[in-house]
Amino acid sequence: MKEPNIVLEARDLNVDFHNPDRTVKIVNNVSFSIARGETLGIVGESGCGKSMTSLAVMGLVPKPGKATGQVLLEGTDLLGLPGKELRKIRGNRISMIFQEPMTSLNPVFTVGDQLMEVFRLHQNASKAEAREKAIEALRMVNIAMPEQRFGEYPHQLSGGMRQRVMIAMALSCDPQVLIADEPTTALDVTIQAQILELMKDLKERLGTAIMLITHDLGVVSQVCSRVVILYCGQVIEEAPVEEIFGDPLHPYTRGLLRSLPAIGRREKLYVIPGSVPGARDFPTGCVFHPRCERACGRCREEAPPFFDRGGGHRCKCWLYDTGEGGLTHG
Amino acid sequence: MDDRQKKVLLRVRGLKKWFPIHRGITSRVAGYVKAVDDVSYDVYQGETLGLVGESGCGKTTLARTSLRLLEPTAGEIQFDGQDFRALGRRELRQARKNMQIVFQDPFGSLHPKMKIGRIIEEPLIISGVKDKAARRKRVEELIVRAGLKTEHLDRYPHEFSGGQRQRVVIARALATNPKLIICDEPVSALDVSVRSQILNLLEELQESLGLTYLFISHDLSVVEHICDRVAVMYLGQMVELGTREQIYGGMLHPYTKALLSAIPLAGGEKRERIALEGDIPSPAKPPEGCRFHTRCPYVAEVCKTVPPFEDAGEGHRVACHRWRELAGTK
Repeated sequence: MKEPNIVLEARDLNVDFHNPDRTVKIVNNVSFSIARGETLGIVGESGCGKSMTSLAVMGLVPKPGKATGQVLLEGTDLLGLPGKELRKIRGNRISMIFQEPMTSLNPVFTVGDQLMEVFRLHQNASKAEAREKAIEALRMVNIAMPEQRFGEYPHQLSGGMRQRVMIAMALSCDPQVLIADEPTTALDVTIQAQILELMKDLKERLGTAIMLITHDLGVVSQVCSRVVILYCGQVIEEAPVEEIFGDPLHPYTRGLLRSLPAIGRREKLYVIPGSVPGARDFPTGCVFHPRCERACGRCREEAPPFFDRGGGHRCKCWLYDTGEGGLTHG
Repeated sequence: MDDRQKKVLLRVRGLKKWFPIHRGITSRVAGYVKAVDDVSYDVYQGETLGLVGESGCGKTTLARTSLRLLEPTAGEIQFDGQDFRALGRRELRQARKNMQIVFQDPFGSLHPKMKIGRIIEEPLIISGVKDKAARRKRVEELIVRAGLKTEHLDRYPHEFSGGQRQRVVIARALATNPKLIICDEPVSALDVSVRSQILNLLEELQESLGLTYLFISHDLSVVEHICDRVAVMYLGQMVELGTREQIYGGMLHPYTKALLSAIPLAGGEKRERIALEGDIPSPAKPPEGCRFHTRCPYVAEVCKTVPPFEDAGEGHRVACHRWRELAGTK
């Protein structure tokens, strides 16, 4: 499965929080890779570890958490890098946009100042150069009258506009990887459509690999080419987007899709029994077994490995055990 | 809902809610935010009327003003045949027994220091049920109805998950046997697998208790699932109102079309989007004439005048000058 143009690869990524009494595992042996120009969707409900996975990739796991494993950006392991080296990479070769465009911009600096900082820091640009590049970046994300917006403060912009500024900032150094953590969750549908369109367009123009974290399966279906489904800190299924929606394998993925109200279909909604367990009491065996309709004795005792179904579709569920043994790791 | 008798439960005519904008040290009124501006609609007994629109379009203000939780600036309201605006404070409190609200945020709408039992009991105390044993009996009945257990009554809100809390909020709303329940984004804060549980619960309760819902949501697929009729709002006004089939099968207003085409569909084909340019204008300075004309792809000269909210047949109402010409276009 080694492809030549893989830009980002996570191998056996773990995030543990060490408390005095016990250690809580938030992310458990997560592996995935993203190729150049590809959009990978990381999907899961709240508390499944999707945001923590993205923070681990950026080296931003808050204390007392600790990320272990490997995060390879074009072969360099980011987890092993000292802070100084990492700062050169973050915001330059790999950057991130967050859910809240309201709080991720500094309210006391103008949009222009905040954009210029990126160029001054990472490209040693002079003030005049930085200004020019900042305005160019605003133009790239289709902001009308960029010269005027340059001097405005974040509160003067609408939510959609702020998210555009965040994207301009994130893409300003032409990064190889863009991590987008729920970039459209706080926005209205019409604005969401604009932002998704913009991200798609920029990805095609700049060839950036995008790691899109979301809980919205609709968004995934529109923009992603491959999908990773997380549950209780583990990857339980990974597949190309058509297969996730056309032929989902894991009972959890199937349940999620069936519980979506779809336009034009008005039957009683399917309900996955129970609720997502907290990180302190992740079940033993298969993490999904307490809520799974098809759980058997084996599921309660033994955690399933990945079973490869071909075509890049793999799934962690005993139902797909062919007897040949699963993949030991992804 | 086929045998629905068309009894009007809530009749609203020409409702306005203008919030004054104060300026300067003398707090002179410098203008008004026209959050709800001349809205008329009926809610029939036993139906679910969906109220959709983007944030800031006045959905919540309309619902609250319709029940006099906010005092209207102008307009007529009839609830169950009674002139609702003529009621004095004490009468209003009595009348309120018949209407309850389920809020979006199940974390903020439950008092953290009150036990669940006390929370559900409170509306009964307020509405004057003196007998303690009777109250307790009713509370026990309600919690079971909402799908929780009686032993949960002695616990505190923090011990529950988001979905369970929303069940408590629903149990509380049912306490006084209301006729009308406003559901203000009841499932927006919940995860997909929990969302379907709450939607199913709301439907079951409606069937067994004959409830009427005013269902506010920005999620059009949820609205399609649960509502009998749908009203679309834009900048403080209704732009389209019709049955579910009329709206989702043959919407007439360009805004409704854009809104529907913007929803990312899970597993659906990637659709042709009607992309709206720009953001929603400020309700303090709404555009002259048709309020949507600044973003409408079909804008014409005639759109500079205010369109009537006219009947397009079988109770399907639309506020657009050009709906007849546009009826054939997708």
